[in-house]
Amino acid sequence: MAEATYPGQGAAIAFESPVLRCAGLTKTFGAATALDNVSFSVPRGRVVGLLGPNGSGKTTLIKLAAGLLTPTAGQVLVAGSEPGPQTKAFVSYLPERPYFSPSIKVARILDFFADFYADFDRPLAEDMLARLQVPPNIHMGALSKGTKEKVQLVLVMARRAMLYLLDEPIGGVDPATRDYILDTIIGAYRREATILLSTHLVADVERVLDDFIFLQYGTMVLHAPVAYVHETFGMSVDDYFRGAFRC
Amino acid sequence: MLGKLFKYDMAALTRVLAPLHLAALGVALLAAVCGLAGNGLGQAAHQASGSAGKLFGMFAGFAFMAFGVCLFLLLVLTLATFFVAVHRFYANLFTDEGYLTLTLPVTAHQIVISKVLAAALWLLVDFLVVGACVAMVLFAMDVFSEILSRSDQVGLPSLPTPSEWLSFAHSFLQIIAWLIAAYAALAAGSAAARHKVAASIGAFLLIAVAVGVVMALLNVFAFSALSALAPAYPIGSLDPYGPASNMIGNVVMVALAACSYVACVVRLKRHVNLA
Repeated sequence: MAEATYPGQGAAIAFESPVLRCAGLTKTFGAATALDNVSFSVPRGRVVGLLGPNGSGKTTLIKLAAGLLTPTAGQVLVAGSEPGPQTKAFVSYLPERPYFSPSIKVARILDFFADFYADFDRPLAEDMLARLQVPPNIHMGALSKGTKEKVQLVLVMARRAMLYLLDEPIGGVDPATRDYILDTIIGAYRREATILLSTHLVADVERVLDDFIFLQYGTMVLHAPVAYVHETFGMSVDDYFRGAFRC
Repeated sequence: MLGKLFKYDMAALTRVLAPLHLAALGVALLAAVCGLAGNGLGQAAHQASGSAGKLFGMFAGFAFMAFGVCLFLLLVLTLATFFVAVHRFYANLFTDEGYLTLTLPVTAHQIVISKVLAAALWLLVDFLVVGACVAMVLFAMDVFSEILSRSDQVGLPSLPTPSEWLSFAHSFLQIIAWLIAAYAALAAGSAAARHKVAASIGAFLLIAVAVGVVMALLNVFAFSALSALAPAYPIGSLDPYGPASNMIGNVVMVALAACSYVACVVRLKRHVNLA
């Protein structure tokens, strides 16, 4: 086992091999650089906020970890392996937009997830959907935007995954729905799993985070525990974010 | 996992194609009825006189027009299978649905094979349904009854001959090869920054031109070689050039399918970037 410290961490922490590791990770799209030489490790059992303004590279980083993109340079490893069919079996990914066909029924989606993911907890998903009052025979196209996002989140969090990659889970929804989403994330969270949650709404997510990673213009500015900002600067992460990224 | 992918791909295609093919059978039945009605009314128009004859003639005309429209609809419906399968490939991988498909714990090979198998199965179903529709239309045109009456003299209708089976296999190979080529064109077109569908159509046209040029060159080479090796055959004769040309066509189609498959897998593995 390796040891590592975060800034502001008093003692070295011994931890297992990181669940997500980026080393010199770079991604370009033509002349545009989305990520530039990003390096960090995320251990198991942490809720990590991937924070930064729009266009900072958060979605690109999450897509690289999910196996939707390939790096231009550097490396991204999930539980020691490059993203592929093996890692996708234990990584649960929530994109920032709805990805189900409008004509598919909710019950059919439950069948789909149960078929492809051995870690899918169907009774848990059905229970959460029942509490949302989403009938199983309704088509996804008949649901409102907020309800669609809730349904997607339920399906993703009902998996007993090792790593959850949540891309802007609370963007574009009302404050009550944001609270529901965050409560669902924490309610379904198991301590042995890791959540990487990207957002620019720092104030809303701060209460659920253990650590955070700040990205700006594709580079990593800071990777630290939330407590580090509180103790070192005497301010919240949101205030630190606003100060650091003031226009 | 391949079986599971195939199950959902078949379900997605069946949702659209089953109603279309049932409609095709209904349209063929309507065409047969219109054709029979047109025949009957036409004969009645010949036998009747005056205004009754004109009325029968007018209805006969309407019936034959409806027959023609039905045949046109049948043609449109039979093309639908190909385009629905191609659209399924595009929508499932290169639109927002791609976020789901491309994060499943399956390989790129499994994704492409599943879609090809599902489309191939539906193309076979399409062949059977079109055959049934054509049989109904021929019945209406009295051709069917003529064939049946002649069959009393020449014997019962027989199963297709080996050469007819080969001809069917050749046609089916062509359709599958062009289907996979369409998949590859979509995969290539999705790399464009904008106007992805137009880029895909352009890629498909380029593939078609390339295949046409290759086929033409190979056929010219084969023709020249056979002419040199078998000078006894008149230059204008197709035999043995026909079998050679068929073989060249089959080889080119297999190569097209293989290259298109590889292009699809490479693209899915490394380069998809959903917006």
